[in-house]
Amino acid sequence: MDNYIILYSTLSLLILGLLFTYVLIFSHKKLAVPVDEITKKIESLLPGANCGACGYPGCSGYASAISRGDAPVNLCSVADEETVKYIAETIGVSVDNLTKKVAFLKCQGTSLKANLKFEYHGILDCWQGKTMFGGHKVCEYGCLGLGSCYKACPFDAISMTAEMLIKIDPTKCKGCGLCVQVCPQGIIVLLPHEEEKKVYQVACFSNAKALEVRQSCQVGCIACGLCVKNCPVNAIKIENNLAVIDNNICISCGKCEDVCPTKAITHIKKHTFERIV
Amino acid sequence: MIFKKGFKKGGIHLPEHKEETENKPFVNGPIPKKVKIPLLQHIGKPAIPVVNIGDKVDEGQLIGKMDGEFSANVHSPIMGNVTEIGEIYTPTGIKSKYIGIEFSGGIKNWNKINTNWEKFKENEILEMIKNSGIVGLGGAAFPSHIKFNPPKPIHTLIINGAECEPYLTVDDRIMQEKVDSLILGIEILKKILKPKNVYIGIEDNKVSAIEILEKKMNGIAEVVTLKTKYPQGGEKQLINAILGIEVPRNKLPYDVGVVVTNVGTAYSVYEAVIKEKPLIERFITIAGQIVKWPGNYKLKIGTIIRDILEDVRVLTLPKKVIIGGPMMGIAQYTIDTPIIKGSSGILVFSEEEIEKKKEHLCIRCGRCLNVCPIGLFPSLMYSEIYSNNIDRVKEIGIFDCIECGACSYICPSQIPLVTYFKSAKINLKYEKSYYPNKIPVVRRWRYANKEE
Repeated sequence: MDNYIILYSTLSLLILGLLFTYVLIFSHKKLAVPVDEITKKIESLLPGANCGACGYPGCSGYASAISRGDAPVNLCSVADEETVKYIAETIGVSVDNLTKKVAFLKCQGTSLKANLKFEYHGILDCWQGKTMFGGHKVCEYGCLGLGSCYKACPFDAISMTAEMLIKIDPTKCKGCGLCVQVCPQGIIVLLPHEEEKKVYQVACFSNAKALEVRQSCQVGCIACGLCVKNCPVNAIKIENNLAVIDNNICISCGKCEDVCPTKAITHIKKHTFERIV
Repeated sequence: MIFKKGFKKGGIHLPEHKEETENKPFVNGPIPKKVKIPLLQHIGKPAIPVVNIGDKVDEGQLIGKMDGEFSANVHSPIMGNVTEIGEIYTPTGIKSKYIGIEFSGGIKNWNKINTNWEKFKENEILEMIKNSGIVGLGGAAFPSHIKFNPPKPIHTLIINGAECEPYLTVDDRIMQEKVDSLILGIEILKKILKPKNVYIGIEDNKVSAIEILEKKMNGIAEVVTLKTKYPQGGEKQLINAILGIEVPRNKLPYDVGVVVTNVGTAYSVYEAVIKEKPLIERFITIAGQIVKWPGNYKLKIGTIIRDILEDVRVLTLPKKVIIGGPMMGIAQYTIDTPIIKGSSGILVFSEEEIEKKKEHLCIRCGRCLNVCPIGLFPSLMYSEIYSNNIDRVKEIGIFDCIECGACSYICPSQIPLVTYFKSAKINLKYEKSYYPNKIPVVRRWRYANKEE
């Protein structure tokens, strides 16, 4: 009697298994959603970070937009040059002038160099820090260093330091621009990044007058105009108490960095930073 | 009465610390040599300055005119000369224009008494309140001429004498000392609002104030004794405690036919209508163990906190100065800030009295759920903010949070929950500031990989 029970159960499970197999085979063949081969290939080439820097909802959205012909191939700031060329080959278009961009922080005021109004004990969020008496630094334009951009960066390029200033690692930065969106101070800018040429920029965002800048920070731009006088191609202008370098004209001679009395002019440095937080 | 009224949900019992100042009668503060009067002391648009540097101003003269309806007038508290117009942070942390006035000597006597105020029309009284620049003196500083002109007729007026914040005793003292003026102020409010019932809600720790008011009221208002529980003085909590009804989400008290106003506001309405004196002074509690002469003071608006602390003799260097109550007040980074219309107290603490809190992780004990007077889920909101899921936070009702601080007080992990909610509110207000929802997914994925 017991032997029959084993036999029946084995047989019924076998029959059920075969039945489900055929149902699955049928649904796989007949009810399958057609997938565009090109879209699939482009999606596999894209980085898959879903950062949204291209303006489409994730990498699959961008891939389908490319295969439909709605979007240019060079929108992805994360993909390197070879990937973009490969995608262009896949859909049969030519592409030129690929400029990679990196984020650059226009502030150098660490807690050692910039004066602090008060000790901040609140939560780590820049917007919260800014609404209380305009931030804990005397300079109201500078980096608060509370790490809203650190939380937003999907590539781990931004690190927080104990000196109340964030640091951006240009080797990891892909130029997606999410940190630019979240910064309450608006002091992160995207700069063209080139291998050979040094990209010079004024690392200060203060529109305050020279005396106020001097009182609040050691490395602020005081709009003295020395860089303007020494620039051989007139790429620097003074606008609203702040020197502005036009990177389209700049020939990267480096004279402005040498003459700047407060060392506010700097360039994107390629060494990686030591991670503290 | 055995069963005292109180709001239904949540609430905490705080150490009161009122014994230091509750028996100290009001003292007139000295006239300051210099005042700085911010033009944004209220909710709404800042006032527009109508004086220039070098002008001579009289006590009570208009110096800032209201910008549109949703604003309030600002007056000069002293006789003197306008010396500077600049920018300053008010005690609430907002940058605002200010007018600096230097005292030149002389005081104005506010002797006028309008005995025939009953003949005034309602819009005349409202105009007087508007011209006097009265705002809610409980702390939020909502312009009173808007509050006392509700779009719908109301049935109940509640005078808020709960004063649930520890340390503060100004409302208590007003109810004891200025009771006749207060009753006149309530009668004026009754005339313009025409409520069927008037209640005055007082917490049961103010025994003498309840006694005096019950003796003097004569049917003008019904004195309601409330449980001592924080935040009993919140507008919506007070309505819930006295009338038993709940103000719906995103609605104001007048939607349920109620107007709630502070005891101090009722007193300043009396001053504005009977004495025709604008809001240039206010009562302030100054407390703290290192203050030699703590007490209740009548101070000119715009007085610098440094001058006040010199006058009351602070014994050692203060480490923390809070404007307002300890629960909802704001710690100041400098004592060169002026006091404004909404400042109800100055609390001075030395280094030994304050404890630095270290934030730990949430242990999901659920105490914050028990104490929230609105019935929100602070722990859930916190975890959603922590994982950047800001849209979900909006769904579970972050905009209903009244920022009372009960959850932060009770939290055994010492998480500053209210600060998180405030920051999430700011982030939702500016919209672009919080990162889009898809970002944390990537980060979570990366951290998951890292841990392996």
